[in-house]
Amino acid sequence: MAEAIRAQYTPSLADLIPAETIQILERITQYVPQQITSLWGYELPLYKSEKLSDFLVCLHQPNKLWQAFESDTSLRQIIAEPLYGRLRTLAHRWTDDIDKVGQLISNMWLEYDYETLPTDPLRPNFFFGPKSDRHFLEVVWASRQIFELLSSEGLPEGTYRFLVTCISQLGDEGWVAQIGRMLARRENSLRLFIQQLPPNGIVPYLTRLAYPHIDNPTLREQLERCYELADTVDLDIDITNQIGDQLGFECYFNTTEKALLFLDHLAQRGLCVSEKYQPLRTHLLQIRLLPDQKLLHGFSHIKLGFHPARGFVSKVYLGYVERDIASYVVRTKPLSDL
Amino acid sequence: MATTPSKPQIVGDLLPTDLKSKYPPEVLNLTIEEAYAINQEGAQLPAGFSLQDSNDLEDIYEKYLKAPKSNSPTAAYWNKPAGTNKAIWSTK
Repeated sequence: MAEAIRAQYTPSLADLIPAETIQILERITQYVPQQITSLWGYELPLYKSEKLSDFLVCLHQPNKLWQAFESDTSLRQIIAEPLYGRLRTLAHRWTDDIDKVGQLISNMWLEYDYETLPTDPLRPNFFFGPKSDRHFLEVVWASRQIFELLSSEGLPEGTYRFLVTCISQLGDEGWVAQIGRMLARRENSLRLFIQQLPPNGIVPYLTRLAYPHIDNPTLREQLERCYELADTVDLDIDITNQIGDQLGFECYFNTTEKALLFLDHLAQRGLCVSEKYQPLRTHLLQIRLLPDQKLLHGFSHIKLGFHPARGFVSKVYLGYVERDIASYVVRTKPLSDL
Repeated sequence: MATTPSKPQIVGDLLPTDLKSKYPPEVLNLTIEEAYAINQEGAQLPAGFSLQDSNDLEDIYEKYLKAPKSNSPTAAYWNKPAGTNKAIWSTK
């Protein structure tokens, strides 16, 4: 993986991500085989002038992941004990045709926070994606098995019961695409990533979950703007036995032009600092998908995080995906493709 | 205005119509959260719940979880399987 990280560190990316971060990532991934992932990338805060970046890795090939664990050397570079052993167990179950938990997992994500990368690079946050055809009570059951395996720190009583509520309160179209725990932050909640709510469906859904700040005017106005400017708005929530205060609105765009307009909007609102605005704009303008590229670089989305006491913050997600799965994940068309 | 979700809200929603008549209202009207809590977390049975009601609930839960599922390809992170990918542009 280190080679790919180094190769993709272009001058325009260097204006957004510090060389020190890339050096850390190269060091910790130098023995990690590239074949464990076809999809990885960076999360960059747009509300801070400092060049900072989280690092994210998608694992969606259970046999290749298990091979890496069996070699028993490389993944220790990116996952410390005790999580290493626990994740190894889960990875093995994922390859087992008759394991009920394993057979429910579609993919997993490891997310490394920039705050911990320099000092503790080995404790990622963890997400898994359930297969979309599974009964939601199975998903809840499996979630409990997974997170009780991965962490000895339990969740507040009633968390999984509320997860039942969160899924049952979705309409026909919405689904919980990812369920995670922010293990690096030692947070005692689950984070849910909810996709494909109908247009303007977030407010009704949050109302059904009794989100206490649903009438916050800043929240409502900004969400309306997101719906106007983005092609899709997906939702992040944190839950225990109730919904948490913090929300995330993940804004996706069909074209780079629309993404740039949204970036302008963020800049006008003070949600994207000037130190990030021009470098990101330049970077997005330069993205091209060449026919001979095996690894494609793409813009994924922009997330607006909301907290009632702190208002909104924004982050951009840039990713790298192998061509054979790109159509599953890449939504935003570059300005021109060759 | 909140819209009514279409996913199961009560135990009765889990069953096809022809099976509902086999179970008492006490069981069918339990919320999904209560059913989960009873089956998975050992929560106390509601007042007035009989042993037969408890067995019925367990039976429904098992039927629901074992119902045939369709095969679908695994999905990468940001989207559903390729057939439902709503991106308007593809590299293929």
